[in-house]
Amino acid sequence: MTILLKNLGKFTLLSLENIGRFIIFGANFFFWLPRKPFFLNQFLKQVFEIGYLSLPVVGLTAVFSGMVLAIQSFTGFARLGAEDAVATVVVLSVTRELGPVLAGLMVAGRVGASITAEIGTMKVSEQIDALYVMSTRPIQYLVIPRVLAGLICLPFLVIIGDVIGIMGGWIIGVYQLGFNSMVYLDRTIEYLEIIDVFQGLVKATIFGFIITLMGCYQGFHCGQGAKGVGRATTNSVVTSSILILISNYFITTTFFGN
Amino acid sequence: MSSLIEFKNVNKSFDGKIVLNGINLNVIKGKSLVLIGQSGSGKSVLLKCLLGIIQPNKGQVIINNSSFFDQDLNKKEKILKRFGVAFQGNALFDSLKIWENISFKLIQTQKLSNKEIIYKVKNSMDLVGLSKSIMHQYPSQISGGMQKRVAIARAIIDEPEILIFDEPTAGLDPVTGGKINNLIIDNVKRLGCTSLTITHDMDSVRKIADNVAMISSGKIIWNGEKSEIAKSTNKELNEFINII
Ligand SMILES: Nc1ncnc2c1ncn2[C@@H]1O[C@H](COP(=O)(O)OP(=O)(O)OP(=O)(O)O)[C@@H](O)[C@H]1O
Ligand SMILES: [Mg+2]
Repeated sequence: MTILLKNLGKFTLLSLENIGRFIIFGANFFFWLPRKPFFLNQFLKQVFEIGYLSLPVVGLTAVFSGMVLAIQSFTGFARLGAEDAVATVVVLSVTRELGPVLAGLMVAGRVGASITAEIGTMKVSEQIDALYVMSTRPIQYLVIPRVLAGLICLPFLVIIGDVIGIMGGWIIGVYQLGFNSMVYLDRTIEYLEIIDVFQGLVKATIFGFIITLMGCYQGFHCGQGAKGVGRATTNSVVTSSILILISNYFITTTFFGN
Repeated sequence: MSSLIEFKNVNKSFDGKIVLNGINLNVIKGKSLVLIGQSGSGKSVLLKCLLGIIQPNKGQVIINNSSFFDQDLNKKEKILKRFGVAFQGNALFDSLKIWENISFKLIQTQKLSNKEIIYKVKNSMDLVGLSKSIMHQYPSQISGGMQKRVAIARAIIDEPEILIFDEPTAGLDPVTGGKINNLIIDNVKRLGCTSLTITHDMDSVRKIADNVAMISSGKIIWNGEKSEIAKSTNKELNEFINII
């Protein structure tokens, strides 16, 4: 029993310490963001890595989710005789929830992991020390380009994912469920409001921030050797996925709470 | 003879394990100091304390008569610009090509044209005996000894005043090792640099050292001019020198 309590106490302290360090890390990001030099090349490289190379994953997730959503809501609504609502349900679910959350989770797996592995490896092989002795601040060279690219790319990924997801729903709606194409599209737009899309993009921006910042943080604080890097990578993906789901709840209640 | 770098009672322990236990050591301006000691005796840790990579638990490092740790980041960076450092594990950036690695410091700290940069990179590669054909390769594509030399080429590219090399000849053949030794001698004797080199290679010690310091059990147990080693009665030093 005492061992359990002791471990619980240790765990709590450790978590608090980590949260504190993570917050300081985030504050550092904002402190250094407006300061020179800005590594444009690194930033563009990251836009390519985080944004462009994530397109296939995000696109695939979106199209299949849109398709499944159309089938599921159709079978569900058919029992109530409300089949007409399928298009509306698809578009609202995709723009508000599925688009940002699924893209966020997929990018957390793809980008978060690779950022942590890369920075972690740089740390254990003294490359970060080498940056520092060559008068280059690791936070400016490594963290700012990545986090900024994450912030900017995720909304674009989500917009593209939204369109592809809605298309997935439309394909199923028209070719399998027998909706008239024009009617389906009309329905899609009819009840969609700007705020639905906007809210999804706010989520995407915040998720992009969480994923890349957590990726960098875990990399910088990874333990020694290959094992340390491996553990940090797992931590990075798990923690940012959880943070995405938690913050998703809070953003949703902020927008549509009442 | 003025000290450029002074370690004053530097202490460092990791999780209660004492590594440095009151290090006092002077690096004299314009001289080459060689630091020797058993594997695991804390040589690399001492170097990292000097550069501010590792924070000592106690003690100070004085560079040019002012305490290094008390400076703000800008001042520290200004001081670090005078250093050329080659780490024991090379620490090459594996996402950058060889020429980008070598020119990294130049590009970050000076405004030069591409032509000038490439010229300096080539010159630096010449000095460590690297073939220019590897310029566009990545560190993972070249041999360990070549990586070592890239690290040294990267350290010397902007003609730093202070050279800090951690085992620069480890893993090199005698000819290439000799080249690195000559490079250090040349920098110190001709260009007036100051150098601190860690090595296990007695041939290097013989060639490049003006002064020698030996570290053991977290302390500097012997420190003096190279010529005094022969006369030394320090048992540990004599043993160490005789073995290697
Ligand atoms: N970051 C660290 N965390 C914990 N212990 C460390 C760390 N860095 C070094 N040590 C310990 O400090 C001691 C000295 O290490 P150091 O690398 O300075 O040895 P060294 O004299 O350079 O040896 P070698 O000649 O083999 O390079 C070792 O016992 C090592 O385990
Ligand atoms: Mg060492």
